[in-house]
Amino acid sequence: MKRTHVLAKTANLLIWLPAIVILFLFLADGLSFNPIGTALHWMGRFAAGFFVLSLAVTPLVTLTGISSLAVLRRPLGLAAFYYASLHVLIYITLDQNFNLLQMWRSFTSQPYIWIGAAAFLILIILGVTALKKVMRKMGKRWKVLQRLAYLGVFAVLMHYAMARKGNLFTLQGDIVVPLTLLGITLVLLVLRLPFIRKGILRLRKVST
Amino acid sequence: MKKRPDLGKPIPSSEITPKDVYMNRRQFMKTAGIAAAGALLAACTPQGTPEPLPAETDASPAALYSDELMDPATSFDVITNYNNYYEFTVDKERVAKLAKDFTTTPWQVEVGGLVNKPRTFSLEDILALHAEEERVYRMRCVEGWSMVIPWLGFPLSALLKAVEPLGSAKYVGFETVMRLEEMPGLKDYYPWPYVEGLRLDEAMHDLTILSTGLYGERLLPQNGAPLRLVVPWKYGFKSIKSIIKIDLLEKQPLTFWNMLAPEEYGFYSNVNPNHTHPRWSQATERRIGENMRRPTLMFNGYEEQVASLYSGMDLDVYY
Repeated sequence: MKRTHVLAKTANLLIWLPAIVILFLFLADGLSFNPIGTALHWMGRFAAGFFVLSLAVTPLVTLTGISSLAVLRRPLGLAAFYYASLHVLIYITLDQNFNLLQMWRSFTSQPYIWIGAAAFLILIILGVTALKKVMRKMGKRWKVLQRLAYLGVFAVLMHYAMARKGNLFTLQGDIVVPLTLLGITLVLLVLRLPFIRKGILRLRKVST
Repeated sequence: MKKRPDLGKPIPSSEITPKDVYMNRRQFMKTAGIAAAGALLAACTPQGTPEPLPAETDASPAALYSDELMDPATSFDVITNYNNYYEFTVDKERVAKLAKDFTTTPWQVEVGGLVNKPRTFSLEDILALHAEEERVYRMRCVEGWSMVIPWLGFPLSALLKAVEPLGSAKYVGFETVMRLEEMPGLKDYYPWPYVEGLRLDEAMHDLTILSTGLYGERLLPQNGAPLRLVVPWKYGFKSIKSIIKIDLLEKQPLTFWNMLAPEEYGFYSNVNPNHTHPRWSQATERRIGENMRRPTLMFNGYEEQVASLYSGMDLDVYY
């Protein structure tokens, strides 16, 4: 019990490390010649990365049998929410300079913007309901609501892929990273399917 | 009669900053800072007479160049270290390093197709065609950022006239060199080689130049050495780098980004804040080094000079 507590505490601290490094580089003028754009993109990348990692916890527990790893799910999921919030905050303030009209136009005409906004909405819902009080109140419904994460992660990855100069239909251009993340996510979700999970658990029992 | 573009006041040679000063802005700023700190310290010692700082240290070299809208040129350091040149890498800040040893001499450009006098030019032949001029142009990337660049070059029309285009020639196609051993980015999944194109009247327009340098120096590989196109009223990707082939054609040539995503990158790709780009908004841009976005200007601010090329055309159809 004590060890899982330490693990969760450590994760809760470590998730802030990238943000601190980005902030430090931003202030030290070390974040490229386009620091606002670079800070925006890195916050987005970490949001996507943490989101995928948070979905890797359950399959990892299934595969390794180390159930104490499960405590990582919460900090990693929350990290996705925090970094997405920083990403959106930078977008509205530093990047778009509060230009509401322009942001509305982008929202209505650029699919990757509204797909990103939808992803963020899902992360807000998951983030707010992660409050212990809300969790307790929601009881069983909370677990059902968490399934929104599967939709959310695809929205995040679509947003990312569309923000890059690649063409997923002709498989040309800047597609390697988005496709890799998409592939990893698909594998992680397949590992969650009940019959696959049970199969793995059975195999593990046989081998030990 | 063709109107000469208003490119601002000519720069007297006395105002051109020595190379060692502008070569590295960061180093320059650092040195200036240390010098200033030293002066401050010296001022505190009672007897020492503080050495006066040399006069040039407070004049930013970029400020000596500006476009006709009176916006200062982007610094040499930024122009040569923030590059889109996918033949090397998609990482803008790594292009300079990867392109460092790119071979640019000897260089040959094959000019042919529908012309009377097809010819393979050496770089020296090309430089002999026309005197080089300073052209301070805005460069607007389709990614939503921009720079002001003091190019050195000459009108593309000078080269085209030298080969005498036939009456049937309506378009000009360009091709970038493909050198697998020197360009690691060629391994990525793109429809190489990089090709671009212009309509003949766009190519003959006085604003369209072949550039061989910037900030009074020969181009560095990351900027498209030794010879690149600059079409300032179009998105940056139209200004093809390291050209080895120019073809006069009857039909509109294929272009690199159009092959990748035709609904996003049209053949014309004129800077147009009013056309809804399906991926990115083109209404505003970030001038590198500035904190607030600027509204993007129609034809990148060259509307007066080039709008007539497109009169009667629906720019939402021919984007």
